[in-house]
Amino acid sequence: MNAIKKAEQAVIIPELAAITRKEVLQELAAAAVKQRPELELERLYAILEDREELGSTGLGDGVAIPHGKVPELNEMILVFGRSTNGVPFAAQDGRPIHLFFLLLAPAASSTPYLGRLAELARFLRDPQVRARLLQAENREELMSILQGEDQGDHE
Amino acid sequence: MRIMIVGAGMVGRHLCEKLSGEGQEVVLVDSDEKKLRRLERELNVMPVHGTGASPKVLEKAGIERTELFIAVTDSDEINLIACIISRQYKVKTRIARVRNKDFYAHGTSGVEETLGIDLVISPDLAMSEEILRLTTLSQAVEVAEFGHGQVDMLGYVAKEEHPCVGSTLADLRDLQDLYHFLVVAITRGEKTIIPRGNDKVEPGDKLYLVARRPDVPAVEHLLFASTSRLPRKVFIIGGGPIGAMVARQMEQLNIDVSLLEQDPAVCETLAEQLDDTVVLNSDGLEANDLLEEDIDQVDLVIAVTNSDTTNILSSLLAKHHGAKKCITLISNPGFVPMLGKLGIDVPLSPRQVAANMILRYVRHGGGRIVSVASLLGGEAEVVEMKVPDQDQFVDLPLKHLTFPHGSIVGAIIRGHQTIIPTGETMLAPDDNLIIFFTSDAEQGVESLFDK
Repeated sequence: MNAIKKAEQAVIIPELAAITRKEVLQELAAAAVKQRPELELERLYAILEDREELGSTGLGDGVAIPHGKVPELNEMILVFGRSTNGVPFAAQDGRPIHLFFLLLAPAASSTPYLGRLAELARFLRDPQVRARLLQAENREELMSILQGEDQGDHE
Repeated sequence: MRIMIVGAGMVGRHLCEKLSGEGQEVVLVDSDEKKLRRLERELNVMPVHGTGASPKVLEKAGIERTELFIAVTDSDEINLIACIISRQYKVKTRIARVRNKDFYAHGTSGVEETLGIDLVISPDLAMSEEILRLTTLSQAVEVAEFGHGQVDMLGYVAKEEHPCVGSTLADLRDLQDLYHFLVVAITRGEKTIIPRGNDKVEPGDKLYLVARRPDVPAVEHLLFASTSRLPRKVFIIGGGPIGAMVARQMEQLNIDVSLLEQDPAVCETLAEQLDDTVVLNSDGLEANDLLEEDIDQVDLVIAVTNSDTTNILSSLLAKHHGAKKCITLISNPGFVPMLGKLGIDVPLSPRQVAANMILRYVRHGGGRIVSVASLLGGEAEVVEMKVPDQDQFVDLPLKHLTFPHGSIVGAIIRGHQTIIPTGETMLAPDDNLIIFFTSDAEQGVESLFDK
């Protein structure tokens, strides 16, 4: 099982600077904008904030999956960000979040958006995967875990 | 349990069907002998000919041994008198259908207490409550609540542009970490299925899902790309008791309401009674009237005249001219199967709504298995089932119970808590499981906890 398909554009932030919920969303959104300059940071942030208002995307176990549909996109984009110290995110178990997966999808219904979200949730259900992501020492190591190339790929 | 139903009309018939189907001993009393004979042939009930307002008739029908007494004739007086007579006997629960709204002038508790009736039910009131419940959920076309309203079962029609279309049920289930909901049944054409992992959501499917109320907006946003919000502009067609009640309640929710009524005299009365509602003298069948009132801006049309034909046609006309959704009163159950194909979003029958309300009341807290609802079309049932207080079921993960093909646990009610379960959820004694199943799985569900 993997979190990142090779063809998909993915951004990795090994250590987030953000220390609040708002800053995390902005930092992740900014990384997406850097990758796809046609996106607008303020608008992206608003989409994510609107979603969080319906209920936190923090799953618990230190993992959050902020996500949203962005009409300007024509393919999905994933940003992974890690915070060693953790960020309070109103998660279901009340614990701070260390691993953030931002998933943005085009508005067209033909994209397998829900399938991708489900895949991410499945991937992150494995405690070993979460532990290895937290311990990984650099971007390359993170990438290989996310791509499922590392050991411990049981699927 | 011996149940006596007085009145073989539509409500009585629906109750007979459900309660005798659950294996209850049902006695049906009515003064129309022909009607009784017909129902006797179709249903497993014991018919007794005569009026429910006569102690003699009730005695002949075995009132001494009756636990539950339900009076649902078309006459308020007969229903009330029958209930009062039944007080001389050891009947445990009394239910009366009462239409005249004077009885409700100071709330229902008054009549209930004075006359010793446990539940007084008005089809019109029940209907307007149901309409309001549906209105607060923008896209759901059907709503049923369980566990004291902590958890809702919601029905949605999946459209091409919805994000959920094309997803597998396995994917939707894995979203449970992120969104607390469970798809429990899908109606596709005339067929109801309890979906498995590989099934995919197709356009036109009716999706039934279970969710806790606070989670509904997020779930709707995810699956149907929208959030629940109140409609801004509503058209009500028909100024009868239901139309007037709904208009009044909507005024309080600050919804912009227009009410169309064809009788000028009724219009005048309504205009006096209602504060902010725009009352128009129209039958709802004139395209020009609708267009002049900006029908294309309307979020919801509620057609509640006393003519099914008018309701169907005015709903279709309004939708044709751009209204987003319609709730349509239908009295003739024979019309219901074709309405989805016509584009009627939410058909509602006042008698069915009233009968379901009675069933909910009767079934609550009954035996080990209590039926709580049937999905539209009646091909799938929902029951509430208590987990026996036995050691082998304590901390047993749900997936270790053998559920028959075609059944699924939609929610677990544990005291004041509601859990949307996964296979890993552990059982506790006295948990109430809300189970959905199609008719072929019925036996397996009933013997779930037998060894």
